[in-house]
Amino acid sequence: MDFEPDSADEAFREEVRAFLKAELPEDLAVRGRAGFLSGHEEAMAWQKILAKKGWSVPHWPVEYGGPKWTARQRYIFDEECYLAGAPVTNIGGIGLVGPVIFTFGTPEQKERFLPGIRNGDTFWVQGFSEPNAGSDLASLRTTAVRDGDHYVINGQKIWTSHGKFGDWNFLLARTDPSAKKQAGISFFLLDIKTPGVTVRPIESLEGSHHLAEVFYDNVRVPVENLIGEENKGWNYTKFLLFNERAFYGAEAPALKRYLQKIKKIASMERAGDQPLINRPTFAARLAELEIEMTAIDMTVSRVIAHGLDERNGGAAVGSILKARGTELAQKLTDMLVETIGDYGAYYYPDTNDEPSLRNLPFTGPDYAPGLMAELIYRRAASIYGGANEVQRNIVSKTLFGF
Amino acid sequence: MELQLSDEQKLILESAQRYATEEYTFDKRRKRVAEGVTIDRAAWSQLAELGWFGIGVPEAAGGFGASTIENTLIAETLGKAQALEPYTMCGVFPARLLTAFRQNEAAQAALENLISGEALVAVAWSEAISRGDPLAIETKASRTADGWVLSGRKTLVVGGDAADLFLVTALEDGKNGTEGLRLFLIGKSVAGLSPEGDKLIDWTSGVDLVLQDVKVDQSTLLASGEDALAVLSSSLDETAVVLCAEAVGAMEGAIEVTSQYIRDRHQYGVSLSSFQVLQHRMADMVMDMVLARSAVMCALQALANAGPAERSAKVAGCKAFVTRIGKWATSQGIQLHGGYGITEEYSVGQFYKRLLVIDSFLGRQDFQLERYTKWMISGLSAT
Repeated sequence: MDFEPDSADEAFREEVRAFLKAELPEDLAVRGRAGFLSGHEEAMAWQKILAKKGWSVPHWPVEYGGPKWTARQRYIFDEECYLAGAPVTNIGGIGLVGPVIFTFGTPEQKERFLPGIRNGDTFWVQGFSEPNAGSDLASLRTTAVRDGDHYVINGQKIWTSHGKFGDWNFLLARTDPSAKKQAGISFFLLDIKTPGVTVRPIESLEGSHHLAEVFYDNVRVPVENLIGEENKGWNYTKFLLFNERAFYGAEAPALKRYLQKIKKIASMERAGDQPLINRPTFAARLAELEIEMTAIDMTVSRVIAHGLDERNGGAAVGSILKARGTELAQKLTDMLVETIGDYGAYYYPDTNDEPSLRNLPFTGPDYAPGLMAELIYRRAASIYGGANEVQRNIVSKTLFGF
Repeated sequence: MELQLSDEQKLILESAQRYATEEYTFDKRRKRVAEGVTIDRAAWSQLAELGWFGIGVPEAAGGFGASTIENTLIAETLGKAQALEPYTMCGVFPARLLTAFRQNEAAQAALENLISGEALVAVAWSEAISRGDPLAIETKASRTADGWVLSGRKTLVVGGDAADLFLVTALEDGKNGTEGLRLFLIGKSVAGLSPEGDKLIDWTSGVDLVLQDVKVDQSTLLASGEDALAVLSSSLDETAVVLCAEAVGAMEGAIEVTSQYIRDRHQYGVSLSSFQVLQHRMADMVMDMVLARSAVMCALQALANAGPAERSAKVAGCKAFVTRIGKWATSQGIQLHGGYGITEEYSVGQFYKRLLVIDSFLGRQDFQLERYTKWMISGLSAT
């Protein structure tokens, strides 16, 4: 163990910073820093800029357009993007379905779908959860029945992030009703404009409509849009969910951005004639959160540096980081709202969700809009991707065999 | 000492619960939110008819006697019912201030109209830099030949978008601290007064109030200096306790809908309520609610018995504690609902949002803990 900074990594960090400074449009950065989720427009605009540089798919192998970075470089890249306020790209495409396609897809599927994901032309949305299949995903009931060169899909999905912006939908459906749970599920790629697909946005607590339900009424999917083998969809799903936890679970860069924001705003906000940050009852609580963040960050660094081992939680580390990372994010966003005092209670509409509301005057400091929305989104983070209760089950099962 | 509700208090609680169950349904609330109505004056008048604004106001001042205890019973019920009406902030808070200054004719008239529901009164005391401290303000009051000119920006004025009357604090030009504090009662139609903003995250009322060279008569000045501060402080303390009772009601509501939800919801072929981790979570939520209700009683005790310094400290302790555990308990209501919890289509998230808003009123954690800490330390050096 030594803690000498790696000069190549530091040089890479400078390169990323210089790129962000030159290429990240100011309006996107302002919106990204505000805290509202990136919408379709933000994600695709940024993805196109990244694609031009060859940086849009950091986790992908070189033959599919990846930049051949080390895990450490990918992490540095994510961190610098977050801190600069870069929009979040289309996770459904780049992070979730893309790797499934290049790992399990046919050569035709790879050729047809990967460029659109890489270049920011196609926005992908997920169709996994159903009203009665949440944590217990394998109990899903949407069906796909083979009819000639097509499958006919009927059923309903829910919690589809950015559903209303979707161009393509990857979804799970049951192809063998007699098989037991996981065994009869298949993985499909669906053009969302296919007749019979209805997307209904769901209003979230913070007032936006990022989530949606998707209904399928005799929707015909060509056979060539099946991933891998029929009834083997659960295997591809496990692969996808593992990636989701590994790459997005802790969201350590987001934690850093929250801390940076809290400090910046608390230095500007006043409590009487003093900056808020000088108030000991505020600063001490913030310090506790920062200390926890540094431990999470080091845990991520350990995994990046040498993979899983028994000292960092082994195979349970993804669940450890997901549970603790999301819970710290909840505490930090709560503190962020506390930082702006009275304005922390105000409702600010989401201008990424509703671009028509952009550039309208609002009440409160420039940095107020988006903080409350982010606090409320973060309540979902301990639910999606496997609820934290499920993560804790995984931890105790993996480490103790309970 | 008697730590149980009296028969009369039980009656008040039961009638409040009956009213709330009949009048406040989630469907009705959603409809009103969709219509963009923060304060429905018909619903407000009904609360007045029930006598809820006069409770806690002495009979000599035109109220119905009783005390802050009765206010907390009503607020708890309304918190559980997810009432959009700002009972605590526009029913209790201004009534306390007006009662104290009822020797002023306009104040007495305003109090009567508040109690009858004819006038909605908003208190514009907080500013961006206040964070709970009524002296940390920058709105200026400048003397003129026959009155005052007020200029500044007030924040988180509950009822400010619909009020008929405003209680406004300002600092007299050239004076600082307690000595400069001025409290005015002004009508909504005075030139230069404008609400700015939309609503709060829980869809209840709350806006900025901008005062731009607002000219008012000398008669609008209700109080100055020490007099104004003492009444503001005690009124803020009483209001904070009533708000905490509302938080307890919200916790109880979240617990009720969540226990029902996990009973009904099946995953892995069984009811969610069969999972021990969820049983224990709900046990923790209900433990917090029991402690929160006790914390409110500690604060009520301080209101009844303690001197100003101890009273404020204990109320601060109550506010810090109840909002912290209340946010946690209601957030776990969302967690146990899964994705449904973060939608507007289920009621559980509204309880959490109410806690977020209550946390923002009258000073947040930083301020409340500081007040408590200072008092705690001063107690050590005194002995």
